[in-house]
Amino acid sequence: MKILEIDWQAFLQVLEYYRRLPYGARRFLVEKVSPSQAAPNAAMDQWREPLLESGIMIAGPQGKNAQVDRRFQSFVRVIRAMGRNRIFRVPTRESFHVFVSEHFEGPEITAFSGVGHQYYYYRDYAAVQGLFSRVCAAAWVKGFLEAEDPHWETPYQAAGSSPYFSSAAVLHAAQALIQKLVPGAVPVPLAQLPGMCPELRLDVLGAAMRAGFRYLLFYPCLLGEGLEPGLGLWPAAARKLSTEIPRPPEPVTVSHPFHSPFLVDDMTAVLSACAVAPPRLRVNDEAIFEADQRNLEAGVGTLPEWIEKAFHFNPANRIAIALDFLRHHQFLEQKGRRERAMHMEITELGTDWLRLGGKERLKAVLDGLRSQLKDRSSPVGYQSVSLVPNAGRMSLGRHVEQVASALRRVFKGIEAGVFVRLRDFLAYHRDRDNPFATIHRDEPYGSVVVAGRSVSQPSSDELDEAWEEQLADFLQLRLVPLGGAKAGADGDGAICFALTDAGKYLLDAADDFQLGQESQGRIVLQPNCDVVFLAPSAKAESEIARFSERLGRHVGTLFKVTKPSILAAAASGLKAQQVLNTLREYCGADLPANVEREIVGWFGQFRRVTMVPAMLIHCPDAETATRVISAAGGRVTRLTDTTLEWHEQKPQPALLKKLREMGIFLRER
Amino acid sequence: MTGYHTDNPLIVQGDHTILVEVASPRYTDARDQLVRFAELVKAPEHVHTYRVTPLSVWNACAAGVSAAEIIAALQEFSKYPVPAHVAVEIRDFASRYGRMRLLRDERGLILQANDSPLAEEVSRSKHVAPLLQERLSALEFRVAPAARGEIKQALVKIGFPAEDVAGYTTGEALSFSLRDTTLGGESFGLRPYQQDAADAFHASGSDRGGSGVIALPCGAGKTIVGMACMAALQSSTLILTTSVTAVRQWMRELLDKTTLLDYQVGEYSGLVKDVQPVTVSTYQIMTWRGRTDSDFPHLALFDRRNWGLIIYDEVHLLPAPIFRITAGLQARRRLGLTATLVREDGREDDVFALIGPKKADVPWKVLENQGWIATANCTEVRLPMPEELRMPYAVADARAKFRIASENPLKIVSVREILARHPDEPALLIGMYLDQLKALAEPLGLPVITGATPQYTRDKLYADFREGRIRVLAVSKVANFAVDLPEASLAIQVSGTFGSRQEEAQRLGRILRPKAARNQAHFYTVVSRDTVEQDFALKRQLFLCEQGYAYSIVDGEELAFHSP
Repeated sequence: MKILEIDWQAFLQVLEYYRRLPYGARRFLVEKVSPSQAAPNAAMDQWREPLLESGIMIAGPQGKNAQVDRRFQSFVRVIRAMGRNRIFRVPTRESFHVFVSEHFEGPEITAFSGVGHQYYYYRDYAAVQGLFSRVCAAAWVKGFLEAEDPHWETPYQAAGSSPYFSSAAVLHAAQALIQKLVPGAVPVPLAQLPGMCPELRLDVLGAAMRAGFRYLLFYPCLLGEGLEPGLGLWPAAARKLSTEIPRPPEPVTVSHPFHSPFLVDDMTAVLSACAVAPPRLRVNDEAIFEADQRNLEAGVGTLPEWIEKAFHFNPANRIAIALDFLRHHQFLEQKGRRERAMHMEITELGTDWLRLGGKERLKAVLDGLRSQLKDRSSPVGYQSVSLVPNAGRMSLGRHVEQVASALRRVFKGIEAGVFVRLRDFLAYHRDRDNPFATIHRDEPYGSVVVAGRSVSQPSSDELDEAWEEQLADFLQLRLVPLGGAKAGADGDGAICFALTDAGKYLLDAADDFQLGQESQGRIVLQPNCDVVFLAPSAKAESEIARFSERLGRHVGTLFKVTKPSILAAAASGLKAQQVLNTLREYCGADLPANVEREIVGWFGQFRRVTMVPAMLIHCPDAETATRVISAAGGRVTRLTDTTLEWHEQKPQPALLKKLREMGIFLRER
Repeated sequence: MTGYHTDNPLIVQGDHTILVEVASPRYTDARDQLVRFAELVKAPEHVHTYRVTPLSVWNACAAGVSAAEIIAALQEFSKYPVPAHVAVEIRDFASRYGRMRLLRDERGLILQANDSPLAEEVSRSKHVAPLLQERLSALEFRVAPAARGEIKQALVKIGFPAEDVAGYTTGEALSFSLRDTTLGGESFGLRPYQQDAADAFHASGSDRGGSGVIALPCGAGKTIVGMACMAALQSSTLILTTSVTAVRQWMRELLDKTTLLDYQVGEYSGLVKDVQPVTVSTYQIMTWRGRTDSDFPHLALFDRRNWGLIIYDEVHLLPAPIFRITAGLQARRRLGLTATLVREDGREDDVFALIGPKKADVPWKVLENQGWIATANCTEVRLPMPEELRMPYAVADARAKFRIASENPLKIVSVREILARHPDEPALLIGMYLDQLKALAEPLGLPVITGATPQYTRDKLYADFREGRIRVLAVSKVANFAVDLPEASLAIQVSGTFGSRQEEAQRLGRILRPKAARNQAHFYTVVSRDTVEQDFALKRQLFLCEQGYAYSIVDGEELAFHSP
């Protein structure tokens, strides 16, 4: 039964019969009873008696069943239709689409959509989606509330249909009803409406309800366990209308702040690991083999658990992001052919980058982002790296510069070093400086990604939501992992953040930055090769991670200098003196003599060998080998008595002829 | 940064390890608190590491320390807020202690739970249920006396250690005391920490005392503590130790420092089977049997007398069969003596369950600072491999590589130099390979003790060494454990046994006795450079550093210029 066909005044008048039913009986009525068919007594069970007592159902002639009294059949149909409406449980485009498809005719939808195109099918998906964008937004309700007379309805009225706002009284009644709904931002039971609006006659209230449903100003539903008939505004619109205008986020105090450019550490760890043992790639999808992936994950340090949860920084994600950045900077490249031993190998650029100090490595990454705005086409399996994370959020990629400018503007407005609550920050900026709204105005046919789904014809609320997600992504995927923001939690556990020097640098708000404050004398190199941080130092962690095995993060025993870690450092281009200088810088001039000795010794054990293809000539005896040398001259080198290395691609025909004349015939294998 | 107290010495980590900054002004106070409820894991120079485990918390609870006190101590001395889950888990560990009790009344041996859900849980446990005889009430079960040890083991396994207050068999009385002057004519008395350890064990004779482990560093006088415990109990005692040499050492000490007479102290070993009110035996004879499927005939020694006390010397080496028999000896008082509670086989829980909780533990640094044990310098001397051995080494398999590197003939040069640098110091030359030991000893004219050396010869050589007639003794593995050579102040290790932590602790213990003159000991390890021997030596090096010893590395060529 269509919502728009209901006499709501009558509905309100018989509602009391329904409300007298126990909850179980209501549920049975809504879920099991067909309004025009009898229900057997056995099926009705314990609810038969209350339903008969209420008068909603009457016993069958032979007492073996019961059916809905004619007077209540419409009522029951409406109740069941309200029960099918999932808008308040799952407020999405899909649930809206189902509701509209059930209760609206094609011409009504067309009239609403207001885009002026011909409407061919009963359920025109595009039309309904366009309708969603128009009506499921706070602006739609606000616009109605500002209407002064029933002519507000005219542009949305279906051709040939009667107006629903038949008088100013009905319009004002609907407005009054909405004003009552706004503060709570949740649906209210219909039974409460007369009490909420005592100044309204029941007939006017009923007409206002019908009109409001018609123009999707509010929606009917069944509420809670008691299946109480109710109505409410579209949830997102209601929240927006009910909240106060957000104020600028205020400074807060946090406990256990977290600050670490761990993405650079992860890149360092992954690159160092690749220098020692290049990870192999699968042929089918060019992903890293699981065993090698696990080794890489084991090599990255641990983050505080609350950081991992709050920002989804699990090891697998971190490796993926590190690899994206490494490929983007060409520190790693794919080697090997598809059929044979595909792997990732460190490049010269990567080796040079590893040799840099902690700050220089971070700066190189930040500089890359500052200048990288455009989306680049990326090989399958990884994301492009640009200042704007998830730059494909708006389908029209050329607007990424606009988005980047907006991001810079918003984050630069925060005072560095001052913590603010993330939710307050997002609430304040959600509908401010929104580049997506501007882009959408210029290009209304573009789509935007919201909550992971691509939405065409986005509503204003959806554009705001997309912008909010973009702000959060920038914090999560750029600022925090690169040490551009510290993270913390306030007394209630709400996530907070503060911009750092590195963050200002990334946002072009500074020409340089310091990498964290130093903890003087607070890092100890033990005679057993442990490196203990008695106080945190992001800079020191970043530097020492290059040549030691990570054991922890933040404070405590964070590293151990081991033979494998020193050999890996040597493989990545570091020298013993560099390592010792770094340790002296952070741990004091007097390093344990045995550790110093071992480090120098391990560096001394590092050897790099090169494998090159060689063309060999195997001779049956030393004399033949000598004769070949005499013929070939400087083009061969004697490796053993009977084995020669040929330096050129292939022996020249002239040489082959000369050898044949000497009785020496060359056979290639 | 909020919550940061720079002067506090502790960092409590989420994995229950605790780092302790030695340079902190509050270090000593913090350490004194920590030893009550945490195990010292490693103690290199600047930052020591402790660990809180269920066992360490149970040991603390057995000594009367509460969870609240533990957490308060951590909070008081920690630089940063203690991770919340650590405090929760400490409370959980502590809450499990004492919820099960073993007691004795007219009904027999009773296992008692402190609430019904726990009683149900325990009665359904596949480890515990078979050991319960009869349910007496909602909270109580009867247990066979013979299962007293096994049930304690099972309860530890399921995380609910039992407090054993079921009392002990009195044992046959033996009246004796400690001497004020030894038979050798020297003044004798217990050191303060030795008295404290004995008092903690004895607990004035109450049922709360009488079983447990005393952990003291090598050279701290665990034998003396054992004797003090015996004197407190005044009853017959069975002492188990690691070798015949150690047996005779115990016997010597007992006769020298107590009023016990010759005929009251017997040796029970492969050579002699003399059971007396105080009998000293070895683990080896206890666990000897003719065939792998036959019984252990000498375990009957445990029933030969009404022992009032059983002492397990070097309890960290207790073999499995002894654990089993100990499970049946729970009515006897039991004392474990050791330098380390850490077992290579991880059976610390069984020691806790069957011998008892830790009663005393004194950090070696404290004893060193007080002069009770010598300070030790560790030096690793690295030598090149001779040219003629480099190719055989390169092509050898792993085990052979170690042997070739260990038996580097150039080591004799370093050994000579080291002995020359310490001309007056009694020295031990320690090695794993007998051929090597002999090859080194012969040119230097040194006597050699190996496993094949007859016992009487060993005893004579040890006596000559102790009395200064021999300055340098070459020894193999046999000298590792429980041999008292107090005057040795120099040890030169020419080959080791693949980096066992116990081996290192024991070897170093041999030279850590207080020295009459300088109280300084030296430990040299000679290894072949850039070989697997050096790699294994690294493990030893890290272990010794973690124990807090100073460790330096020199090339053989520099030895002449190196000051220890």
